[in-house]
Amino acid sequence: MASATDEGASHDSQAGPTSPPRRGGPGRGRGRGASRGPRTAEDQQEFPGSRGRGRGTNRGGGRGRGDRGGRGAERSSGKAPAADAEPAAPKLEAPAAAEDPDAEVCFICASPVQHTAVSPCNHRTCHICSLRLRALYKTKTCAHCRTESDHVIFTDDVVKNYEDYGAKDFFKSDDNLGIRFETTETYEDTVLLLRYNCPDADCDVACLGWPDLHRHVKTAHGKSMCDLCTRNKKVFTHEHELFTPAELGRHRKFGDDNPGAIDQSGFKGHPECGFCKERFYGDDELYTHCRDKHERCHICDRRDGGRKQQYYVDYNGLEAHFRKDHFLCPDTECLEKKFVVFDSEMDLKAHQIEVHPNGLSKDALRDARRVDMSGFQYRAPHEQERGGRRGRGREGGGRGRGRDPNAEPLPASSAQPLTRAELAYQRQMAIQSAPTATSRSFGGQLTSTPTPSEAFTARAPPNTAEPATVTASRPPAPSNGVSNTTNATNTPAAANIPRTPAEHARQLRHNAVIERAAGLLRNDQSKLGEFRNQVTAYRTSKVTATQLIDGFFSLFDTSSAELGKLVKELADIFEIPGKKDNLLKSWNDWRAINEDYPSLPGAASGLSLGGSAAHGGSRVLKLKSSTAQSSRSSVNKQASWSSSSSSNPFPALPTAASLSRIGAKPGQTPWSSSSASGSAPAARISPLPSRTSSSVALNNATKKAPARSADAFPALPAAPKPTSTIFSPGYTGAGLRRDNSGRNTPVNAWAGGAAGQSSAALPDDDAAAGLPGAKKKGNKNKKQTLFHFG
Amino acid sequence: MSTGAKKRIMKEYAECAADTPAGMKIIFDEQNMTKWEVLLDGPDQSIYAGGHFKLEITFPNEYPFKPPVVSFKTKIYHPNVSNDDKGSMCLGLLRPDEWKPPNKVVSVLRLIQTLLIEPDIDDSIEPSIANEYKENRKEFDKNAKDWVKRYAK
Repeated sequence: MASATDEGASHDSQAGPTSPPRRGGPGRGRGRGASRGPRTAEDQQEFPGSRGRGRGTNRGGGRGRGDRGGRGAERSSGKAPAADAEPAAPKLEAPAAAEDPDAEVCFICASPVQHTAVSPCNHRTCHICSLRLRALYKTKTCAHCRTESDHVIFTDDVVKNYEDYGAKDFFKSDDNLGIRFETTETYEDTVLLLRYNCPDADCDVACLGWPDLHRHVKTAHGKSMCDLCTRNKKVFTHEHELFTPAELGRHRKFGDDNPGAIDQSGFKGHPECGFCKERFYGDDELYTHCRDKHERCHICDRRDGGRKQQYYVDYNGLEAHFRKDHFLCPDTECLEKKFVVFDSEMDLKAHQIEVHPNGLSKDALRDARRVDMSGFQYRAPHEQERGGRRGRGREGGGRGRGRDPNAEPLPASSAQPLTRAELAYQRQMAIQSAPTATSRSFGGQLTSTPTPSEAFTARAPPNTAEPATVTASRPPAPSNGVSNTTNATNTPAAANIPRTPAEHARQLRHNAVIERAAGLLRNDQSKLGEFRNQVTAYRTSKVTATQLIDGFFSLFDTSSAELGKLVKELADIFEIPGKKDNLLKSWNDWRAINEDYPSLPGAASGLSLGGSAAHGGSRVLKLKSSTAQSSRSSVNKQASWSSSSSSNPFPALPTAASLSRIGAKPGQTPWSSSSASGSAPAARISPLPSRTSSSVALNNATKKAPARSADAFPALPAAPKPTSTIFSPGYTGAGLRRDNSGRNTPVNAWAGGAAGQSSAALPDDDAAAGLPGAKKKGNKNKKQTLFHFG
Repeated sequence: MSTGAKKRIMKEYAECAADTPAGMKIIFDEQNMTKWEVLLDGPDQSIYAGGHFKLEITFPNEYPFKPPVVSFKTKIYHPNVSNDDKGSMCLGLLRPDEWKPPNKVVSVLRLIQTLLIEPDIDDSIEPSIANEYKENRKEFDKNAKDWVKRYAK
């Protein structure tokens, strides 16, 4: 560490006399090029374009930190001749003259260019702007001409064209960001920008991730960062602001809107949702929230042309508004369907005659057909006036319904609010189910009891105590005629239990999650089964939320955005608040660490080893001064960096024992009971092969060791083998760990769960025996050997 | 707002001040450099000749990665300027998806001048005015001049 600090200092002093400190990088580069005077000059005269390449290759190895001091002398002597010897190369003059702060500024940020970024269209920007666009704005288009380019080159050469670079010219290439680095220096300067640098101008600590950084600024500086800004604002980490608690409150509420203040930016604070009292980053985010979580009246919107934005807290609120100001169909079914509401009484009557003529007595029907002329005439002149119509709706709300007063009163809707998305989903499902009668499991529409997918719920299954009822109350998909009848005959009573709308809504959400998971897994049923197992394990607190998310990553081969949707939907169906929050929190943590700032591969390890991080100390401060505040401190707090990196590098591993018990408790795993329902042979035609596979395991288990509990299936590796990188060592202790061996867990849990239920005698099933995984599993279980895939 | 953005705005102001398009005056407040006020005379060859319009150019936090926001503080009868109290303008290079970081405010100012001379009918924000411009040019001219008299003197 000490040497590192020295080096940083010497580096500063070298740069000092010849150039302002911020120009240190490029100045060095050019100086060196020039010091090879004769050769370079020759190249230049022939074709200036090749100069960079020659220099690049020469330079390659000699970039080591150690010999920097030696270079200093060489450099200072080399500089002057460089300018003299090459008067014919005006291009070169420009950077040499960059000592003058006015020359060579980036046309985007108006700051001096440290390194240039060259895109295939040969447009140039400074590397910071290019990186900003790529890493923060996630756009790969050229700032000048908007040409998409997979890769840009970060270089110190200001003339060389993109096409003149060859693969061997690059020190490193990052395909994630799409950046090729010509030199170690450009690479390191880029990596520095992407670290979780503390925003404090005098602090060079780089943290491991957002949570770590938040903790650091709290403990080290007694300040905090705005959560909304850190999540949404497109600036590099060190460009964020630090606030005292009072300042943070002001920032969130009022922004820096302080007329006359020198540093205001027009930011007026983060807007708040009036219903939830939650703040959002900006108006767009607030709008999205309101659109998703709250309701708007489509009728009023149509009338006002959508100019006035009136939201209702949820569907109940909206329904109250419908009742009050519009014409809501009072039919139970329609209330459940939601949004069956009309602009006028006439429309409502037309709807009633058309859709529920049976629900009306003859009198009512006749009534409905009759147009209320008195009212009609009275209103005719004011038909255009909103006020009149509304007033009438309010006063005559009961009268206008067109219902027979003698008919039995409609029960109040107990429907849980469904969002529009859920409604749309429900309707879509109804459409899909009708003609095809496929084997999908959207029992929500037709059956009165939960389908197997319901098993994937956050609650403990209600009937675990009485397996008989469980069997009956979990019929396979309703579209499956055979099994349906079988079960129906078994327990007619159960089948008749009406589903409450709340259950219905929940069911829909479950189905939505399963659908999404199935889609992401491309309908691979064994994987889907795994997915369910992981969720159950989480529900029963066998694994932590972090582990669950890791498990998802090994299971799903998809983008984190897709996975994010799934996780959010999944979290929504957890009815235990703690579970839901934990899951969301873990997900956000993961994202904060892995996504907000796409880290450069190798960057973390390379820097954390202390070698290059060592000089990073002085450099990062310089970097801050170039991109953010103008403070010029050169405090080198190496110790803090190393201390942060040396915190516990071993994330807590789940114990094998706890894993092997996943889902093993009899009756606690919902799908174990669902597979038990397979006692009816017809259930074999079940739409969910995962169930059949479970029953295979079950069969085997039944034959071999019916009484065996979870301990009999220790088919997990003693300790999960982390097959990929360890992400955040030391932050929560649990850290993030990708664990492909997690793949095994669910399958075994299946077996275990099935075993628990094995008191039910099951016929052998050949159809499902084709699943190799299940079969093998059974065999291995018998031998009680450790088995693990891949 | 980052230093980069401020630097850039300062630089642009220097450029604008050195080369202000004819008939324009920029009022720059160093206390709040994210809001420029521009006084614009209706170009002579346009129907807005003789009018004096006040514009506001607001630079977002993410400038220059996001476009500046232009709004007419003086009411103007124009297909490309919204006919409300905002007087907003959103077309061409001012659109978020068309904005490029290298674009300069000067070019925005020139665009506005051009649009006063020749509205962009295909990209209008006020369809009714655009329609009138297309179908009944006389009526449009009359209305526009009327508004100039009423609001922009």
